[in-house]
Amino acid sequence: MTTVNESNAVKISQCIGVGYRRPLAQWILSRPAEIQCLEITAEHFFDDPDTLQLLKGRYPLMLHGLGLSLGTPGPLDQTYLQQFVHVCRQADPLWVSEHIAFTRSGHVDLGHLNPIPYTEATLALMVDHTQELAQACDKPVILENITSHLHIPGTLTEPEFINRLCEKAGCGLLLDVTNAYVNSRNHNFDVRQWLHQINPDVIQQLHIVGYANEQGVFYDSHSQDIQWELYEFTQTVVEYCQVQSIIIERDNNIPAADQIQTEILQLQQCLGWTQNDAA
Amino acid sequence: MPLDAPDSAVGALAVLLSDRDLRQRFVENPLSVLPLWSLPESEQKMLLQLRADQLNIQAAILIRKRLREVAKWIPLTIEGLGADAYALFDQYAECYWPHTHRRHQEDAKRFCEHLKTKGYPYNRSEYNRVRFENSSRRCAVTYAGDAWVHGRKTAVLQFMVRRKQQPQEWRFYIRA
Repeated sequence: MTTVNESNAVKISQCIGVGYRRPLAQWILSRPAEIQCLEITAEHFFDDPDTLQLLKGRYPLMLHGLGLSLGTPGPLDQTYLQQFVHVCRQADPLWVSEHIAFTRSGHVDLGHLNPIPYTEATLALMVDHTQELAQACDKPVILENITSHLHIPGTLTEPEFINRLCEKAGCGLLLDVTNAYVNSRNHNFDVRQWLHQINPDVIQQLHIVGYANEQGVFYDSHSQDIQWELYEFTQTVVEYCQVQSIIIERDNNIPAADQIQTEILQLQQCLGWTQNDAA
Repeated sequence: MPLDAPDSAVGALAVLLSDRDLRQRFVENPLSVLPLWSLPESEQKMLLQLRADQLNIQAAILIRKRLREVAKWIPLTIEGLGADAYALFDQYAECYWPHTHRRHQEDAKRFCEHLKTKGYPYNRSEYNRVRFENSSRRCAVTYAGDAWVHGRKTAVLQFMVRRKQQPQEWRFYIRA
């Protein structure tokens, strides 16, 4: 099985990129210098092998999954896993990522990410499913923290759960700075204190996108430009650990390419990363 | 005990987040709902500590996220519903949860069909497209009298073909 530590053999560093989205396809395929790496969503390519072939080789790729539902008790959906593995084989990414979450259970498929209880039982389940994913893909796996408006009282804190999961499953953390920030505002905790409880060695990749605030409730709408406090928090994260890549993860209200270019440049400037630093 | 009764906290959450009536019963009196499920005592205790407002927000967000994805496939339909869009989608979405990796197209198609059944307006050209997207057909020719071209409603013939699994569409305008 490949673990996150083995992935360091193919390590990239200080790369900033975007998530592939159809409205940005032309720009991404033109291979602008600002994009140093590309994250592709597995489910978008279950039926689209041709576009995947166009992207392969143009950028260092990371494969991101949305629907494996690693937090669901019982065996992983083998049909879904095989579709994921098929895309992985075609894309040959540096690593694959999924979420610390569930999207379905029994006959109910909620289609979006939901929180899991932070308990020993769920930890064991997540470890098993993460290892199964790594083995099936033969790639390192990193897992992402999600936003949740629902707090489930568990026996472990979120940082404890993440640290132990990464240690036991041999995986890394895809730290979504927006999700962490949104949770801190909705559940009233200090996001920097939260960060410093996470083992810095496990943080491998970041996601960032602007949040929405409606009447004091914060949402991961994936539809806004990145706010200044998120740039600041990202700076804190990058000072705290060695991040290999940052992906701007815009899904809705997708702006023109020049706005995303501006965000990439702002991130580079704010973090003191230059294009020459990227490997 | 129903055959599909959840046997884990995650399963119970999935049911609570997808079923408004059950969620309401749970919020009002959790002890009337918990015996329906075969959950370990520790998980029952965990669920008893959930906050009703947070449960309802999480459920509402799932519906909002679905609507946001559906709006990408049928923007004219959603725009045409105006301020009623969320309420109508909410009414539909509680009864149906799509479950494939093409769930957003499937959801968009089903929502159009729901609107049609209930007598609400929907955009025919968008419906034709998502219906084709969800089928396994290799080609289709459809008519729509409500395609928008340069800001005007125009009648069109839609020719849709699936090439290498990717649907492509050509529209031929019919001038009155």
